[in-house]
Amino acid sequence: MNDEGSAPERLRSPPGGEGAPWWLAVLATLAAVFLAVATIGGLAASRAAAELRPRLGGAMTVVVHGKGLESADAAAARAQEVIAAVSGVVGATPLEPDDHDAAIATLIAGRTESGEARLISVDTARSGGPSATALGAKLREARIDSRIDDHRGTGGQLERASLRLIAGAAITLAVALILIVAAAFAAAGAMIRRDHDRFDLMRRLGAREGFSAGVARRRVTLTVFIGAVGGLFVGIIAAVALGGRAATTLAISIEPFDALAAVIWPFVLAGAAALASEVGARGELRRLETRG
Amino acid sequence: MSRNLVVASEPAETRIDVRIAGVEVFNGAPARVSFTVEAGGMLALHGPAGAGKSRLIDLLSFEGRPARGAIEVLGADLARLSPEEKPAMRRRIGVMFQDERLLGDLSAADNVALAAMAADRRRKLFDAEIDEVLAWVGLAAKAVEPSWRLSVGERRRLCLARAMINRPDLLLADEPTAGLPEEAAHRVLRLIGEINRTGTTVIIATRDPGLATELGAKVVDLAGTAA
Repeated sequence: MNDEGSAPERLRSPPGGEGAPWWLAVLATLAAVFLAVATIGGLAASRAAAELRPRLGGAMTVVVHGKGLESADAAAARAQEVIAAVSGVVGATPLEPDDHDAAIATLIAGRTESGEARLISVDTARSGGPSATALGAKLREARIDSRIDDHRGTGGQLERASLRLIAGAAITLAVALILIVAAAFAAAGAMIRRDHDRFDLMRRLGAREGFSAGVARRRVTLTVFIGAVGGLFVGIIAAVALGGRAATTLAISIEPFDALAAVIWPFVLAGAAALASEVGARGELRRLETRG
Repeated sequence: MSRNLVVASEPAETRIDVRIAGVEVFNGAPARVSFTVEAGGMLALHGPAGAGKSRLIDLLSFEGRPARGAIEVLGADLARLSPEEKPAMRRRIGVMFQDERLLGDLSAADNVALAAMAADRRRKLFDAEIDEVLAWVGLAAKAVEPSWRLSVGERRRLCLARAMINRPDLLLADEPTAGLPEEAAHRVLRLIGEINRTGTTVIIATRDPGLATELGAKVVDLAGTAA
């Protein structure tokens, strides 16, 4: 036999034997995307609810338009008188359109109002206040072109929507953690089985279980972390894009802090993956030792 | 058919590194093997393929347990050794595996480094030792070569370097010269002889009857029990 013979094929490492499986990175990316969107959306919605509630001080907002030869200002003045005379109304205050930002105006009007619209904030008694229908009927009787937004329940609706978003984020987190833990556990074991020659050699050379498990843990954790960081960026971009579009109708805007809060998720996911992969790897290494 | 092989007596005042008592090996027919190896001694397990040589080498490196009999290596009773105690004991033993077990994608130096790292040693503290041991086996110029590029003889010497990097008390060499041309085989045997002369106990499994003679090793002949 020639001393310069070529190496047997078995000496070569199996393809892909160096890292954790690609699907783990994909899973981490998806988990981070959902977590980032849920976090950013939840925080932005909570803030929007907190900010909107005091600004929606009146019980109702009446949008008045001029009609025929009557200007919007004249119609608003007449409407104020009509409204103030209705039983249960404790105040009717005309508002300058400039005082309302676009978000509030679109929120309460449902569509972009022209510059000819005037807004009247109506406060009602806590009990016995008129319904929007009754108030509308009085305005129609006075031939005033108007529309009424009754936002007495809006604050509660906003809070409930915000709570739903937070609950959604919590469920997303729980599902993401369960998936990542299960995947990291399985991936660590699979990695040791796939790279059996390498891990078995380390064991035969006297490596402690913790040493070999650490090799698998580092690979899995790094894969999850890289995937999650990628997912974080995708999630932030998606949330800003979605939030930016939503801002035209829901008055939700993304602040830099919202994105900053989502930065925690790659670390949380990687931490969970580290623990799970350590346990999974040690289990597989014990089986290796027993079989040996 | 069962046959007992007892080849070494135990002189007083001598430290025994390896004691095998009535260990059963299966090679077609059950055979009970007993022998001892003194500290710093050299012993060759001789026999054809399937005689149980590799099984004994595995058992001596704390891999598995014998169906019958007792094994004591470097003062540790295999039957009483817990899984947690095995790594520390394995670090005291250097093994040249029959199938080499080199990692093809790692360089020669990294293959040696893996053994040191597995023993929890820090790289910067053993880097110089890797250079030293590779120079000793004649692979200093091949340190950065991927091990799959090395010739058969070079790989075998690399296996020896990896087995010796942690300065073991016991060297187990399973067919260290199998498949090697004569000159390369002599080179490996010379190195093993040098190791033994420094006080390291050596056990070699071999099919080659001339190998034990060349090394001046005691022989446990498993041939009589082969199928």
